[in-house]
Amino acid sequence: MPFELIAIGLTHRTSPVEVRERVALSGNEVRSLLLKLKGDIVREALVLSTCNRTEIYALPADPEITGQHLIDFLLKEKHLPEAELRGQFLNFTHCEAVTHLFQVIAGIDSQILGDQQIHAQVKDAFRMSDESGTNGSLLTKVAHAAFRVAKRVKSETALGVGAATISYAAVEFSRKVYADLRDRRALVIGAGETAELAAKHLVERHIGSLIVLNRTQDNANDLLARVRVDGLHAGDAALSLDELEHALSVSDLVISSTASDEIIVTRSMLSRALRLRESQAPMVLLDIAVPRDIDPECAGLPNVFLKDIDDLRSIVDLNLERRKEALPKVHEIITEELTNFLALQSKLEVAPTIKELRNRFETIRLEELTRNQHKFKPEELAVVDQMTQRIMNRLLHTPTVMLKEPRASLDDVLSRIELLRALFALDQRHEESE
Amino acid sequence: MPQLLIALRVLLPLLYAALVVVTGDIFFRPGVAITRLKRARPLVLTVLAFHALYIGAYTVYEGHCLLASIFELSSLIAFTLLAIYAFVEMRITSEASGTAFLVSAVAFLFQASSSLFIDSASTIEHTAILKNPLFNIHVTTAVFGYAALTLSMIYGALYLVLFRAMQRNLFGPVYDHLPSLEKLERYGIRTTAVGFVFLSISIVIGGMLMGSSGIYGAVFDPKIIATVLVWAIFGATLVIRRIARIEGRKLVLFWMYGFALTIVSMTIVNAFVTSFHSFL
Repeated sequence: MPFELIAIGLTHRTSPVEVRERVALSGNEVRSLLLKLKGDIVREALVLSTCNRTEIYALPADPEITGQHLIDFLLKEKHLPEAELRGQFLNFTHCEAVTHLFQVIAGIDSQILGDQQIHAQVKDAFRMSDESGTNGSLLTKVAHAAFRVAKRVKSETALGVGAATISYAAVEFSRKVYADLRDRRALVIGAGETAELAAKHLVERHIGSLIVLNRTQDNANDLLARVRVDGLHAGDAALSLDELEHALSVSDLVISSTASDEIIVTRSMLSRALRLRESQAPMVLLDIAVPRDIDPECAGLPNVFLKDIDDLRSIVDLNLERRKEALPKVHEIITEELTNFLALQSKLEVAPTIKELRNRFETIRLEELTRNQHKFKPEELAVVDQMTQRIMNRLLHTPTVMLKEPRASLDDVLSRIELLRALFALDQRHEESE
Repeated sequence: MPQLLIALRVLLPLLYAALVVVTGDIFFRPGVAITRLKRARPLVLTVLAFHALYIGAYTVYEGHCLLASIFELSSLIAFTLLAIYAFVEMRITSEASGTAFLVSAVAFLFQASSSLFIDSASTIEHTAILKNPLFNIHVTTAVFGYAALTLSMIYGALYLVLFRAMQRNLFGPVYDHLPSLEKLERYGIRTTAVGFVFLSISIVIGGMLMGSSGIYGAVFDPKIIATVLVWAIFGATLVIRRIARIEGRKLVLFWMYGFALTIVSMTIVNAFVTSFHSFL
């Protein structure tokens, strides 16, 4: 069966968030879509829907079905205007579709270069496809090749190394001070979006206990409840700004992100808090607010690391620069894996043709031998039999090698197969025999 | 036996050189150091196994351990450095500091110099004491103690370098490749504990040897005083950490100043004082 993978979708590169959020699919919607696609429209399908992309990878059930059909189907399912959005979709076939998936899973098509989450998201998509029964042999091979790309990119390049966002850089900086955040208490000042993101990163990194402190204590409570989804840990607390000095004295790590116009943590306040502190391990203060919340003079206190948003941005910029440097190697890996995948696929495509070709030649040879066998003595017939076999093998050697040798693209392989089948009327012969 | 010793003498610097190359690659190539360090682990163990074989074969053949000349000791130091490093760090691969490169480079220099000059070096004359098992244990444990001292100084230095880099926003290779400050401090404490144990054994056995030979005046030998001083610093570091709860940069500075003072004083002692410990 010819290999005709189609990939359609829209991503952060093609569409603004207003469009992406309208096309995005929940887990249940993905399952339902897969079930609707299965049968008449596709033989195999995988749907990947994240905040940055909604994509369908499919093997159509009929050669007449194109990417455009899949785009229209998806838009219809989402009750969206086809004419308006059609133009924003990517539409790839064959090798381009496979290459796109490899680029997506490697993290080089992500909004943040080298994003690591996408690997797990593709795995989830593959699992859902499997559960929905739309996963076939082609998609399994493509997905496994894609997982291999992701694994190699992770182990052979620096694409995913280092923090690529300010809030993540803040947490990573603290991990450069403390071996294990499990033993540490963090104080997050503020209850806004950035503070919440920082708190989420801390929870992901298994922070021991978390204090959220805000002018309005209720907001601090809400934030704490949102980030501690598995329930509060011992030592967790939501406090008001009046308790700041006490909170500082019991914390190892402070991340501040409020909208305050004034300094919240003064040098004298921190100095007093440090004297009350039991631990003598360095204290980390990360000020990601603009204007700043922590007095820059605090950096002069002993055993204190104070970093503001510019310091952390320099870490992020440096990391992104390094990730960009890793891009040529990532492309190299993608090309290698694509070549391997195509070589494997080519073998699978050419094997039946080679077999048919040999059968066709052998049938003709045996027919001619049978027709002329009365003209030869038995010992002469044996010689003729061997001779014709050798002639046949020599004649078939070159086309067989030509078909087997690796090609630049699968389309090239397919065109050679078609040419050979036409030259020797293999399909006609096949139909006749049927 | 001599053929085996000669073969190992040639093989060991090559193995240490291979280790320098492998760990250097881990240290300098960006990212995923932990994964590659796991791959270096078998090589570390192989080097240690061959070196242990060399020490064993040498001891059997010569009747004493590698301690009769400075170049014999060099080989023992290379082994102890790598052994303590492996004990402190490599068994916990997820906490690797990336200092394997520094340790293997230093160990390579010691072993290479030993392999090159061991035959030409002058050895001490006290053949009787060299064959005394207690004396062999005394010196070997002292070497282990001093190797631990070297390692704890490496960890302490790395701690201070990283601390400074982080304070000055120097987010380059030092920031990238070294582990957290807390881990470096922990490794330093572990090596200090190892050094304390070995030096305690060495001092006790040294005292027993002194008692059996009746040379009590040697108590005031400057090298013994220096060794006791190092032992005291090891001990004090462990005590103040536990009792006075001093940690972080203060603790690292304490042990670094202490050891720096000891090294300076030992250098002076070695330069100007000769005694029965002079071969050390």
